[in-house]
Amino acid sequence: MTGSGRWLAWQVVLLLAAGTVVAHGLHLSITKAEASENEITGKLTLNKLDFVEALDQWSNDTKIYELTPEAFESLTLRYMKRHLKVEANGSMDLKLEIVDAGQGKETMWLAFKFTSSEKLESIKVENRVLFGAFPDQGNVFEVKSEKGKQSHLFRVDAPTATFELN
Amino acid sequence: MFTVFLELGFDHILDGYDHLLFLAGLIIVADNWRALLAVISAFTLTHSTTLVLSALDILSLDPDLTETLIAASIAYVGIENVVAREQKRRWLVAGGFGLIHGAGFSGHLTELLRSVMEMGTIWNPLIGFNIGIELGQIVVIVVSVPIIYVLRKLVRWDALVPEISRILAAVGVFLVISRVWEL
Repeated sequence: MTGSGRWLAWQVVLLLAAGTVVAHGLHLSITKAEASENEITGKLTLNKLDFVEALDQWSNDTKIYELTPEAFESLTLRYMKRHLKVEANGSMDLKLEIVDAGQGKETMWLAFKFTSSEKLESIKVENRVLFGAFPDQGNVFEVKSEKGKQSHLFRVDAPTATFELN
Repeated sequence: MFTVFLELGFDHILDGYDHLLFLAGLIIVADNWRALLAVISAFTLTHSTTLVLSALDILSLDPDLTETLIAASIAYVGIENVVAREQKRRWLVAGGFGLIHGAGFSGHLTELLRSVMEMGTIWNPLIGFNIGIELGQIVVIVVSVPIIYVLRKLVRWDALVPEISRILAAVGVFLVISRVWEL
């Protein structure tokens, strides 16, 4: 290789290195849900540090490490309402409620409920959880209904999916 | 769940520049099919073993340390490609570092799966994820080997390999430093 060729190769190295500094982890959340006649209940589990980072970026000026537990809970609910949406029977937006929460060594979970005034025939789920912070985020979603178990992988470029429940 | 995790595994290896750089370091010096098959088989066998051990909670490596060692594996193959006169028993290198790469594949995933699922049901997604990784690996090999074959005919491959390897080594060293810095 000539001197200028080698110089060019090293420029490529530096560019590559600059673009690959971030560790290649696996950014993933898993939701297991169950649909009954007029209710969707479920549990969303994700990496604790990933969630805090996403919340920190999303909330801009909020100093999330200084929040009281109540304020953190309220911010979490606002974030989830914005990023996890369910539409029933093709027209009706369902309201998200977080009914419980907890944490493991690296993970945290949120138990949720969506209630419908009508019998659920189908749901359209929009799952953008952590997409703003991690472009490679994958959100696995499994729903159990009369039709059996159905699962889907939500990605940044495909954040919605429809599930027939009956 | 199986197919969803298969898709995840497939995407993960194709997005995973660090695993691909390591594979590239092995592929460029494999000058025949037997050598190529030996390194790929060793890498596949050992990273699958780590995945199983991690699922059984027998092996647990710190994810930050794992990421740093994966970066070191890229630097190692790059340097060895330059300094070693012959790449004999390369399958040992592929197999040894395959254990570390397997921990990288499975670390966060196993912890997340364990907290979501019953112990007995975690195999279905884990096996799907691993098969996805293997399929991604096959795609990489099927695409890269013919390109290398053509390049061998067009350029002085023996002269190009050390240059590519120096680049790999430099990227590996850079990644080690940046990951140690993040620890």
